[in-house]
Amino acid sequence: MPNKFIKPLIMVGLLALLAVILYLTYWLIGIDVITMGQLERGLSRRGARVVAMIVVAFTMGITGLFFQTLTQNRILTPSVIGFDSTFVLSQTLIVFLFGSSTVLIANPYYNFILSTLVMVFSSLLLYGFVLKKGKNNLALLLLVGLVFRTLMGSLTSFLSRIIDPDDFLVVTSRSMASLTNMNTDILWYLALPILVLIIILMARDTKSFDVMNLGEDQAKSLGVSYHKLMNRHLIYIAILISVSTALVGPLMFLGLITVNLSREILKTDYHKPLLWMSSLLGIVFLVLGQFILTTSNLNTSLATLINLIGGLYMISILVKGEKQA
Amino acid sequence: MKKRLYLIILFALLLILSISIGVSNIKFIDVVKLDPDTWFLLLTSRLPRTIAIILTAVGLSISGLILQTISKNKFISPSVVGVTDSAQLGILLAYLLFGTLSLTFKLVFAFGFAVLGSFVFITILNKIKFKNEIYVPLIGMMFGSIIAAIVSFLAFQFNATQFIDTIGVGSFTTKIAGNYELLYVVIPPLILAFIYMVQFNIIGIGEDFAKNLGVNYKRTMMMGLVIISMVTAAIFVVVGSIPFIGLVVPNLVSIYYGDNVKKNAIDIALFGSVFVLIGDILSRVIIYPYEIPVSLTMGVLGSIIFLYLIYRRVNHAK
Repeated sequence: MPNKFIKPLIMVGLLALLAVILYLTYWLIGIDVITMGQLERGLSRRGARVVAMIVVAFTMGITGLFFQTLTQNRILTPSVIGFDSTFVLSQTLIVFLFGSSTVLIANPYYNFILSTLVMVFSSLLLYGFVLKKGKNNLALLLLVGLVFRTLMGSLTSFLSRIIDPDDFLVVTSRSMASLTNMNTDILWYLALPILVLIIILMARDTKSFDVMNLGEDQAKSLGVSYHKLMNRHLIYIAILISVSTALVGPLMFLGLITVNLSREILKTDYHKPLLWMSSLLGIVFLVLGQFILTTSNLNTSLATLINLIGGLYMISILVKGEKQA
Repeated sequence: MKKRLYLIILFALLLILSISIGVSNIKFIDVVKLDPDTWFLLLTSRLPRTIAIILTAVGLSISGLILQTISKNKFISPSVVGVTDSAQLGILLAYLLFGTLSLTFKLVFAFGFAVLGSFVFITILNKIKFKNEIYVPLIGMMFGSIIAAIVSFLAFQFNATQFIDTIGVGSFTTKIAGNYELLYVVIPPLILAFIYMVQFNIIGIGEDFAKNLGVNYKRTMMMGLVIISMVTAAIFVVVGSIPFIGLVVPNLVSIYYGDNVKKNAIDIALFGSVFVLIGDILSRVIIYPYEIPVSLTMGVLGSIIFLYLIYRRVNHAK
């Protein structure tokens, strides 16, 4: 990695580290005697949450960045066009089809695996089709996402009306996670291994992705098997978004903010430094945001805050970007 | 013209079907014999519901058409670009400031904020000189999600999440005499909309072009936005949010009839009514004698149709 990237990376890395330490230890302030049991209890819960947030930061960074290269645009990420809605929709559909009391719903592992399979299949079918046939027609991608988001909303509100309220509570807490209600059951044995495996697989292709930035024809003539890579990475992205959505629920704008901010800070198109930068920025956003929310008396969810800031930031990018062009 | 005739026949059939479906049976002979019980049922429950359905359908499809015409983009509707969310914000603010309110007061707030929201959206849109097909819905969605975020932030902060959940689920179940009449306020703006349809079409082409043809751009734009906001706010307050109508109906009609907005407006109104009537009849029949909220039926129906539209477009773009 060239030297000019190292300094900003270290700065943001330190900030992320600081955020993690702050989040893990702030509750100790004010306690006179700290017993081992207290420390263990407090740290294990917060530790799991921090690891989950780091996992999410990495998935959002890598999926956002790679998707932008695949579709050759700077303003869409998988979450914006509705990959995470697809996941929530497949979870809801499973509840719909099998009822809320089956093992498939109650067991977090089965639930996750089944939903992910449905998700990968449907995203390949829909997005793969649009990406290949529509020649990267982004408007259509966006619309597919819009349709899914609306359908998800209707189905969920219907579900909440027809099933037993107790059952519904179980279903939502199991399958519809949020940043305040993290689903850490699947973290250690499912989410983390999958993340590490897929990131290793994806990281092997960063060089090909650098070439893909030149455009489809150039990349092909330089020996990149474009469509093979595209299909493979659509599957990877679908799985990663499943992991992140299963852990903390849909986060529409996080990937978009972190990837675009990294582009602004680093001013490069190389994937490797951008990848690190956006992941670190994601950690800062999530952990520091959560820390600020819990210490201040703001009674709101981090996802709401990220949507608010992210939306404003994106609109400003669109307005500004067009003036330059 | 022949197509319109079929549409009218279909509409009439569905109208009769919609009036006759319900838990207690209505016999045709009783209607003719002016049986007081039957007429009571008809006037307090069946007719109001059907009227509410038609007003909602026409209102949403026409306001979708106007928005799509003045911003020259086929992929948006008031609910996509945040007008509905703004109306919701208005109702929430009114609730937080003044407590429980009458429907009319709610409507005033919803309307005010819907106008504000649509103006902000159009202003942002005009700031962007180069309007890509995709940027317009994208900006709308972002604007909508910002407003939605503000709503959920305020709701969390002041413990009003339950209040937010109760408003906005679209359903015609409770639309009986006494609580649907407010919906009649959509009629004057809709008449205005039909009169000014050509002007909306002209300002959609561009400000300079509109000036050349002697159309007052600013005033027409303003009128369009006010009409959209009024209709959207009234339907949101009285019925709730019903997905896809504003988006799907104008698109479907323009596939078969082309883009002559003035001619199409009536077909769109008819087609929208047929669409929502079918949706509502389905929601009443599927788990009879219980009902599914119409927002679900329309959500499923609408998304299937919309995915088909997208599929069609992709295949054409080859």
